[in-house]
Amino acid sequence: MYLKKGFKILSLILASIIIFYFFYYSLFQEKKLNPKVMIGSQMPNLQSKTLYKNKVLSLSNIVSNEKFVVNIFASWCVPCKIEHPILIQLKNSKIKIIGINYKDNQKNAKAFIEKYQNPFEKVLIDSDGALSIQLGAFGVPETFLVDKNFTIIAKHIGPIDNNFVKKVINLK
Amino acid sequence: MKFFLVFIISWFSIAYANEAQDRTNSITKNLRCLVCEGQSVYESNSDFAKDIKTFVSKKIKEKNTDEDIYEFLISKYGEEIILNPDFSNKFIFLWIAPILFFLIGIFFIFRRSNEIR
Repeated sequence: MYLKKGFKILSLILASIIIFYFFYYSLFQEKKLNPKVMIGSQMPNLQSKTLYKNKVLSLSNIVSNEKFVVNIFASWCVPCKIEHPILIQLKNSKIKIIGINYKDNQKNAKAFIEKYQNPFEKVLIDSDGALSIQLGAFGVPETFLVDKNFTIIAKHIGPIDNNFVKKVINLK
Repeated sequence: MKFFLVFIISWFSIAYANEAQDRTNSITKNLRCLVCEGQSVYESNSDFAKDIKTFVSKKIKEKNTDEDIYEFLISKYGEEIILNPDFSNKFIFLWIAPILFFLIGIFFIFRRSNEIR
């Protein structure tokens, strides 16, 4: 009888500790965005006006039969400034980078590119976020690595790092 | 006659605009703001939520059905963008668990009351 009562109390304490742990853990857990959904799927053939020539272009007009990188950026985005030197490094490695200028003032976007150098082959304007939704993006900056068959190989949320550069360089 | 025609056209366009807005609201209320904590797209003012609202409204104007819009967004963001998941095999435990726990509770209460008697 005593054993049964003791067992009940112990189970209750154990259950309370487990529940407390889950609630406590969830309090400090950072929001993890799931970048995997788009990986392995076909890159949408994004179409929009370009930043410099104000002419409508699609991705397939800009790249064909080669790997490339798509980078969502904005002049007002601070982490975009952090990753910019890495984009320049990629450009110097002969990787084509297509910029998606997210909800930006065109004048500011051009000033941003002039100030920090231009790593982009072309920049498509995403004035209302529609292009970003087609890419399944959550915000800026976000970067996609696409192979020559237009398949998305990798997606990076936040400023890219050297690991992403390695992935780009190693992709055939 | 002209006045009557203008009145009819205006009336229909207002009715259509209201219906489109209602559909946008009902869809965005069922979409999760993925960059927020526990908010729907309808409730949130984040850039992500604003983009989705604009997108849904645009798709409705382009005569897409609700299913088309949900399907498209799921293909881009996964099932987690839906606030109330469908009654599908994948989520069956979510739907059945509360009923199951309720029945287990009832069972223990009855057993206990029989023991006391």
